[in-house]
Amino acid sequence: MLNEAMLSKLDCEIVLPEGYADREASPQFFDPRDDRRRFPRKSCVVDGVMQYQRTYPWLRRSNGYYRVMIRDVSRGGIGFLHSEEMFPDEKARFVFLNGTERGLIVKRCRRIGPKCYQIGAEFDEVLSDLSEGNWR
Amino acid sequence: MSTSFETPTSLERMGFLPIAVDTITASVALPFDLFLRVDPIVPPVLYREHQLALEPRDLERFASQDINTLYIRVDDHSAYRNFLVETILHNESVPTPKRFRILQTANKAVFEMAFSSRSAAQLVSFANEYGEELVGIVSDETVAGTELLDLMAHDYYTYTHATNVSVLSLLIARQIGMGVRDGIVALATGAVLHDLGKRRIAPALLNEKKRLTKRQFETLQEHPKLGFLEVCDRSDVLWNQLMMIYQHHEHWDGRGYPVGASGEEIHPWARMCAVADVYDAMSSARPYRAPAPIHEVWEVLEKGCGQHFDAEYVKALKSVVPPC
Repeated sequence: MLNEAMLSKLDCEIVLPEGYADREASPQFFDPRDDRRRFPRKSCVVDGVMQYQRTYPWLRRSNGYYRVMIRDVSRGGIGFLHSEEMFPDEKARFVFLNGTERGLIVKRCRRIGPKCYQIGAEFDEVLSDLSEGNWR
Repeated sequence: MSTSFETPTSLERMGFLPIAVDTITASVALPFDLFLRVDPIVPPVLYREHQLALEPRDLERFASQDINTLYIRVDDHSAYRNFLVETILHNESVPTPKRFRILQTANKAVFEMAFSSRSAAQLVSFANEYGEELVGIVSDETVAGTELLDLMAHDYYTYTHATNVSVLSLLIARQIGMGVRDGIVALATGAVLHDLGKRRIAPALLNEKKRLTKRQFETLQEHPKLGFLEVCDRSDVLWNQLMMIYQHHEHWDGRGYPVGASGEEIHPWARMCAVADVYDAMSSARPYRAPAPIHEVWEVLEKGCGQHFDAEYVKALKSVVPPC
């Protein structure tokens, strides 16, 4: 099970661009008024661990774990920062600090700096609610 | 190019494809039945059964009556393509510009049918065949880029844009020394497919004459991703081609979409495609504007070096199709 000690052993390879260096104060990536979503998003700044799932034969991915920065979460998915570009419909597994694992499918990727990509991904199953036991 | 075609939809429903008369070589047995439309409200009628040939006097008659279009059955389009390959496209005694013109006119209806089909398979297969034929023509270095440019149509048809971008990408590739071993055929094919994702965008939005709203623009910007998703699992689409589809709207300075990748993070083939795409989009008519004068096109391309475009590829295109 993932815990703080294990997380601390993983280097975070994300390089936050200027203006994002203060993690807590850095800007939100989404417009809370966006009405094109099924579920409302909740802003947060918390680390998680991601592992690629082999999706595309032409795409070489390491089998290791990556420390990523979760920025928002909804019942349908999460927004996080990662050090590498991810491709549409690419699959990954996410491990939250409480040990919960979730499958993810990438829907959006936007580069905000070198080694810093904002990823929007859907959970493979919609969460029953947003209580922290479900994702944190 | 003066040859015009009817839209394939109504004919297609009847099971026919229009073909240009000047793609038929006289005195060569036809591997397909050939039809003529004598009345626009009735289906085409059989003019020459397969295994027979058109005679020179038939062609003279068509010319005198201003008949530019004949018809074949939809199911015969592969036989028609093979016929063209044998009689014209691989016939080195036919001048290259004529081969190029025939390649362009002969493929329009097949492309449009493939583009409107539900699955991408037909379009990928078309692009592969077209790319191979095009490379055979464009790799003839005795043909100047300007000569090909003069033969290219500049109307607002998806086909015209897809194939023009393919020709222009090939001219850039040829100029920087890319050859068959470097995958130049795959590059031509990828360029034909670059706007594949627009099949999933409503035509009304693609043809919108008014300034797009923010949301409309966001919808339009989905097309590289939609194209990527449509073919990312196909074994006959290469990674390089996939990147042409996904990254052709990325800018060198990172201000493009869908990702905002910059510089060499953008695949070189996508960077070539971006130059070709803008060159053709600006120099062709659009529903909302007339073609830009060529000096304006070059102003935009040159100003965009290091911002929108990779300067090396703009320079390469300029040396094959100079501004005047």
